[in-house]
Amino acid sequence: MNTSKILSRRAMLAQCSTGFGLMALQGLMASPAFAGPARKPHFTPRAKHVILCYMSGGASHVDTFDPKPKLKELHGKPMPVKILRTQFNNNGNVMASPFTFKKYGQSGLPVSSLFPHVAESADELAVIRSLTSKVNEHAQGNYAFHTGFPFMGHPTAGAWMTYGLGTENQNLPGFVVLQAGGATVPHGGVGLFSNGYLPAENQGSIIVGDKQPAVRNIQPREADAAQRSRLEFVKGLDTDFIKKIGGDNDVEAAVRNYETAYRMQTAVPELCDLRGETAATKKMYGMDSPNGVTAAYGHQALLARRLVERGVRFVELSCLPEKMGGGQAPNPWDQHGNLKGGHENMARQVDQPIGGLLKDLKGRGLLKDTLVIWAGEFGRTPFSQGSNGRDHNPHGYSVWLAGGGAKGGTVYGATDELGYHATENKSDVYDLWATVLHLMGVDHEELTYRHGGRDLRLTDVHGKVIQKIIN
Amino acid sequence: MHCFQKIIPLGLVLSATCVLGAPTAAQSEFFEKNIRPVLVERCYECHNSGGKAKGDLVLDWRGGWMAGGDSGLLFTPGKPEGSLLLRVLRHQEKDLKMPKDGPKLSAAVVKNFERWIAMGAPDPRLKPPTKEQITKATSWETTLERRKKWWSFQPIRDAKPPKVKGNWAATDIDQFIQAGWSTKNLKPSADAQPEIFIRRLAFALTGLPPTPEETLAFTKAAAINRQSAIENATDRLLASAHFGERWARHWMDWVRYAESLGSEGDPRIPHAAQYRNYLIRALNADVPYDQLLREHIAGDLLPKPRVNANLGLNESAIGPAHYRFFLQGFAPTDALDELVRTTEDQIDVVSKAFLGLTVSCARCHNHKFDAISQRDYHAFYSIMTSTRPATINVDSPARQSINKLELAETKTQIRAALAKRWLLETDKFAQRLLQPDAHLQKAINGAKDARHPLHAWQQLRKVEGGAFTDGWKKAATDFAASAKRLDENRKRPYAQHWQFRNGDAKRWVQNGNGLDGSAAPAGAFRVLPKGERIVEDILPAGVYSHLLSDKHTGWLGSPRFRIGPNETLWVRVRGSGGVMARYVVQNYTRNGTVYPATRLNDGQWRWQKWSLKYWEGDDAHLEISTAGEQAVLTAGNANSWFGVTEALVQKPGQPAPRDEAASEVAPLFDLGQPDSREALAKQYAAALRNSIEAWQRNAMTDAQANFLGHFVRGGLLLNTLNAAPPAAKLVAQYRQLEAAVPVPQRAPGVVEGDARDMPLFIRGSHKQPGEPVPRRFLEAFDAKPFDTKLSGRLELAEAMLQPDNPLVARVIVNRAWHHLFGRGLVATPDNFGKLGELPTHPELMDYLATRFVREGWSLKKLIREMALTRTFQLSAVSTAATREADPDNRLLARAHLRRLEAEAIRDAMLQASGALDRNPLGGSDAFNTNRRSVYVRVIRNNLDPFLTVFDMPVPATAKGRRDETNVPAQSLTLMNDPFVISLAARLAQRVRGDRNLKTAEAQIRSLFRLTLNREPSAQEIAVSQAFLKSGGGRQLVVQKKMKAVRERLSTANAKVASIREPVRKRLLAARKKENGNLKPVGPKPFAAWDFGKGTEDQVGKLNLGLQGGAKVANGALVLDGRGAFARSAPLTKPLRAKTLEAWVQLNNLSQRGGGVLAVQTRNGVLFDAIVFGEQQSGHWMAGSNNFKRTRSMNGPAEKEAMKRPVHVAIVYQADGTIIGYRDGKPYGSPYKMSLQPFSAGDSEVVFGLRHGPGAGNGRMLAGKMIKARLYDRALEPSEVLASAGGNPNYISEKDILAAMTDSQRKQLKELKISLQKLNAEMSALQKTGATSPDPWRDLAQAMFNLKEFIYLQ
Repeated sequence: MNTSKILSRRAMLAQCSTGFGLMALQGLMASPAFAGPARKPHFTPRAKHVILCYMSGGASHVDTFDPKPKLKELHGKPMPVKILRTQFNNNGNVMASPFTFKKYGQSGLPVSSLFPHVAESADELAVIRSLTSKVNEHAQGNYAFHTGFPFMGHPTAGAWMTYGLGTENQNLPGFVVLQAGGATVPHGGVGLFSNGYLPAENQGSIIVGDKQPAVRNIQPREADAAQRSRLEFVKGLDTDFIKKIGGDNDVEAAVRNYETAYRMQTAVPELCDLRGETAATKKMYGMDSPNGVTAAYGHQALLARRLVERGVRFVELSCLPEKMGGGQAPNPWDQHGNLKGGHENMARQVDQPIGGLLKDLKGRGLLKDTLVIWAGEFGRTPFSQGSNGRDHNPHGYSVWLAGGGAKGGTVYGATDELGYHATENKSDVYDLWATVLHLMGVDHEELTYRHGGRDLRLTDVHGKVIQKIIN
Repeated sequence: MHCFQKIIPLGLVLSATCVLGAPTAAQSEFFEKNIRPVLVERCYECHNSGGKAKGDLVLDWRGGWMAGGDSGLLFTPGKPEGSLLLRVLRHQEKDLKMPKDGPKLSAAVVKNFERWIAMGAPDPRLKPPTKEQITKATSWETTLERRKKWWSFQPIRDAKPPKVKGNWAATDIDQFIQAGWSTKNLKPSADAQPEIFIRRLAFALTGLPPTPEETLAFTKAAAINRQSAIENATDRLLASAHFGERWARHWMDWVRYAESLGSEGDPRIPHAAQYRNYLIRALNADVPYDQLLREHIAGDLLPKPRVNANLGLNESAIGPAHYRFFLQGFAPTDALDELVRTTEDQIDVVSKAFLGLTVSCARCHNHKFDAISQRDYHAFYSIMTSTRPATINVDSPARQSINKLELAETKTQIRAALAKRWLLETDKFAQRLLQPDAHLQKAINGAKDARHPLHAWQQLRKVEGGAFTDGWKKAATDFAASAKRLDENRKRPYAQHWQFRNGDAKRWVQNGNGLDGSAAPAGAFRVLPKGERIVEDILPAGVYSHLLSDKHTGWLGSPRFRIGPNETLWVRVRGSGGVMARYVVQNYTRNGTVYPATRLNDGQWRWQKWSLKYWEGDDAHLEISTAGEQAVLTAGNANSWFGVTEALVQKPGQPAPRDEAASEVAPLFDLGQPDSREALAKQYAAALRNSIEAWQRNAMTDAQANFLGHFVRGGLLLNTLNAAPPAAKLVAQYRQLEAAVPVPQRAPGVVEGDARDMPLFIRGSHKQPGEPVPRRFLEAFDAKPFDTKLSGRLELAEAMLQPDNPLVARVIVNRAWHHLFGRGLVATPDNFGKLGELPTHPELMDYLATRFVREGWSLKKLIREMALTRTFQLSAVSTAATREADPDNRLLARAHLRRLEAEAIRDAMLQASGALDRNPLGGSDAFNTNRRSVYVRVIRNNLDPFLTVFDMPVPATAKGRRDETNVPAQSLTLMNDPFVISLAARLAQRVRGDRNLKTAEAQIRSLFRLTLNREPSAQEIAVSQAFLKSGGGRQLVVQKKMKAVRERLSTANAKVASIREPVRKRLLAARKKENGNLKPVGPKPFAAWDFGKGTEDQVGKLNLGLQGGAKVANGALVLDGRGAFARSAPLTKPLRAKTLEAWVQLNNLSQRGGGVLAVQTRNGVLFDAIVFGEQQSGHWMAGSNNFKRTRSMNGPAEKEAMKRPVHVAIVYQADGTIIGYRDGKPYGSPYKMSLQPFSAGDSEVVFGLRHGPGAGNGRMLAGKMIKARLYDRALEPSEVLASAGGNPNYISEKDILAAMTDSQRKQLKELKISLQKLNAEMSALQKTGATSPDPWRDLAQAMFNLKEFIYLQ
């Protein structure tokens, strides 16, 4: 699907004479630098962009979007069913949610007191309450969620999207991972954003919204004029080289890459410059919050909207530690102890920014084209770990989709009365991605790449589109 | 035969006229050759008459296709156009693409179907096949036989080079290549120019460019005799130590080399670099490939290992390290799933790297396309899981046994000498007991436990007559009860029970030079390596790692066992020096929440216990090892040892094991019943004598050993050098021998000894085990199970190397070809199966493979043969006609133009700049090393960004052909990466500093030679000079301007001084007069804290509150780096320009980001702070929210602050300039950012954390603060100095101004304004100067940016 041989040598040579600063003005080039130009989907897409709010560490479903009154009833009593292996093997009794649930919107979708801002958009949410994972550990869970396989080496969902659909902006990567304020990569490392065996232009690029430079090596170490004159010089000799060898598509593409890189040096700072955003907008995202982590997550959420506006295909937001400068940055939702305090801190971090993002997208008419996903690698056990924490629970948990063709105000699937196992419409990450791809206009069984002797897919050999949550 | 068939459906009748007649011979042949095999292979499985007819379509006889299926008629014979069948095969039907789940049929095959339909679809299959026929046709046996016909499974033919015309071809290989051109009528490119050729050759063989001298020497030699020049250069490069580095890196790609396991925590794979070094040494030494393959599969088992005498290494044993480069998750709850996955990874790598087959594709079902069954996969699975991951001792056998015999011999003598000495003591022992010395008395008093031999004495020593008899009777009764329990314990039906006194140790897996495969008999002992005491203890029968030296290695593992419900594992063990004891579930190598592991350090016997409840149903084993021998959980101790006597798995309800007195005091009680204390004392002496004599004879019981051990440990027998002179000499000799025992060299590896055939997992699910599959090779070659009690790796290695297996040799010659020519003869080097590409030159491949094996599997000879071909000399420059006829250059009428690998790009920059460190081998380095890139560490979750961006593979699977991508990140790296820029600067320096290069032109020429290995053209020199001039011009202008501004500045400053100084002097003199002796004075702060006086603000109102355990002690605010900090009352006035100042002593210099003193908003979001080691370790910095006002000050690294309090100040000027000071003097250089104002009321000062309030670990300061000050203005340098030390000559600016005349003040004000302007001008110029690179550095970087630099012609 990928081809780097888009521009003819002649066209390239013709452009050589226009020089570096001018290229930026033209901005019309079909460059292969970022996932190739936008490609035709398999069928009419509902969504053009995805924003993944990844709740790293495992947010508890029974405390957020899957109310279980039974837990209150059995609080403090032993689990009435067999407890499967947990990661810490320090299993306590049934633990009621310390949070209250209320019904919101016309749909009456129940949301816990942790997410008052998101709840305001309840009628946009399609909650899947029956997601399951095969693994019970963070790094593997993160890989399984992102790539469909529990280990590094496979392409991540964002890479599959840009591989399948290309990008609409050649000055920015088609797949961006945002960070700000001390957010880090979840357990497993940057391999979570890897193109795997797909062409490298599909890999995720990390943009640290509030840091200089926001992208590795994006900041020139010299004055623009100096850099430009060197690039001109280099281009002159490169052109001679191409002539001398009688033309070569790869070398020509490498020359063009310098132009893209040069333009990126401007495009990224422009993206990150929020001076043009109004105070009201920033407030909506919680950027004025005295809570530093909320402000920083809000910063990411606002950048996500700006990226979507600029045609970026797939954006992933990164959680911060519970508290500014605190620890446990790679898995901040992971409350094995003091679930109440920890989940409160984490919800305070993301609720207003995500709520603001949904409202802002909607207000600007972007939500219909943008699929927002809220999900983590697994849920948490309905019984306690120790006295007041919860262990990992991959047997059934909740994620939600909003916008981009997702049917708002719906609940799909269910866990048992304790919230322990998915019992109704049990689904997995393959179903989720099959559905997301479907909304993007892509048949997940057709999106393949041959590697190591097999035609591989994001959905491996699984996946069914969840039609019931599609508008 | 008539034209019409009975069952022709009506719809077909009209069109199916006589074309359905009996096929002619030619038609039959066409069908049999081109149609039937495809139908059988790709269609029968789903479309047969035997019960499976998807879409209601049957294709296994003529009537089937004639009837069509659910989608209608397939085709009309004679009319291929528009037929459904062809549309489906061509994937033109949206929802119907065949064959399903497989590659599209090749265009040629589809064409055959078209021809077949066109000829009327002659089909001799007149009747539906019988059930047996169907079963046979679709059975695995039939499929296997068919698939075995695939080209790569065919024997290697001894191909003869084809005859070709003309004199182009120089070698046999060239003849094969030239013959290939004829089909497309290709003409070869010219020979590459000498300087291009030598660059190609040098990179291909060593991964480094030639030096300018080498290039020159080669071009000169080539001018005289090109072929001999090439031969000489090839031989020189093959002999270079860099050859191994280059080719080892290729090999590392094949086996996904990595130094960590990935996943959460990303723990290191200990000693992984040993494997890389092994490859480099082996390739440099040209160890035959078959030997290397043998070593990779089973190098640790080879009866005659390859020994490196110089290094004392068993090289062969390092080969299996690649098994250990799998990824491993953190504490998975499904351990078997993890084992299945890591094993699949091992199988994947072994089969792809050495066989070019994707065996792991057959995990869930028989391979979809290749001759590999699911049972084949599981045969490999059985082999791999019959090993266990460990770190192994890779010393040569000689090094492993240094002084072992001598030590054992000396020990025997020590035993004899000691026994003799001790026996003398037993004569006196009865008397000693009756009249104990203080030492013995203490031991008697302490013998409170019935397990102590002296316990009975303690109880009975004071009683006589009937009381004694009764007392003894009671003791004897207790002993008998204990003996009975001991006997019961030994016979109890535990789920598992291993008693090493019974010889059970032989069933355990033992590894390391401290263990010998069995258990030591009772009486084993260790001679202490130092100190006054000689023997540590007398030991019961057991496995001990330290009987000769505690530097010896020991890895001890129980057999595998299946865990039942609610079981508990116990092991009686002692260990010291970080010994690891743990149970291992499904070979999982890490520890974690549900994978407990215990380190032993105290050297005491204990019953270590683990509940196995969680793991019911899983397979596990017990492992005890010295500190360095675990797969992952190693510790660095060189001296570590363990002993084990017994282990068991206890079922629920069974009593817990415990040490019985009977096993320690039997020697006393077995001697019968004493009738008085005197008799008892004698009985003790006799028991002791019996035990010592038994020890002397090396024939003692456990109880005797334990009994005697008490006396030895307790110092009740003479056991010191002083007291046993005959032994002392021997001990000295022993200790000398022991000191010479080396600390072993280690490598990742696997351990053998617990082999088992594992069940086939039905449909790949480990939850559905089927029948066990024996350990064997692929059935396509040999389905006979291996005859071995071990894993079968040795047999596997031999099976792979059998002459009837053509894959091994073909795969490796293809890899060599790929790396030399840029594209393999098979373009998919890891896949020679059906989904791989076909060979472009099959005969050449066989020719090469034949010669390769015949010439002794020498990679160097193979590479040499390829390098000396004319083909390898071809230029990459080609004609349009050639490119059009052969766009992918499959036929090699020209050279492939290819981008250099990541490592080669980096190494070439290092070499060109003169920075390259050529030291070979050793450990792995951080990225900024100047060593070759092959030595940069490979940490999975933190892969080097430079190398990764240029496609160094992520170590996840075998990667025979790297990606060659073009992404902007590559350009950004070469444009802006500090590493690249620093090397460019170094290259510029190198050229500029070369005295032999007298002109700019000479220097430019040198730049081209160093980077591109060629002379520049006249035009290139001209544009380079123009480039230098334009850049240089910019620089010159800036420098001139700066000089002028600098002069004006100094004039203005002199004027200021001429006005200020007289006034200051006058004031100073006046003050002197007034005070007599001057006291140090400094500027007046806004707030000041002196922790000698407490936490109150000495000047203003910013009193401090202590939090998180902060305290004031000994005149300092003590900050623990964990939670302690202090926080002031809110600011009483807004702050703009300011100065922060502190006297601080640090607990350590490695802390990062600790805040000393910060002004911040009360919510902790915005702040300015003095921080230590935040972005830049070991340095003082101006910390700020999100680093908004933070930049390196470029000051020196802090070295003293641990020893004494240092003074640190940061001045924030109103224009955003930030200046650091240390000990009153400027620290580094100022920089300018924006100013952050802080408002009154909601701002505050905090001490000890970078910013708050709720900051967690890592941002806290660990240290002591003596005092601190806050100024509400930016201090001048002199003021900072004054504040730092207190300056007796300090007169404040305010006082000076006050003492001036109005006109002086006015003059000074004007001067200050003009100074400000000049300073601004200066800093602007400095910025321009700093951002306009030195023109030569600029040119040097341009050379690195050239495509010609990163592409290889």
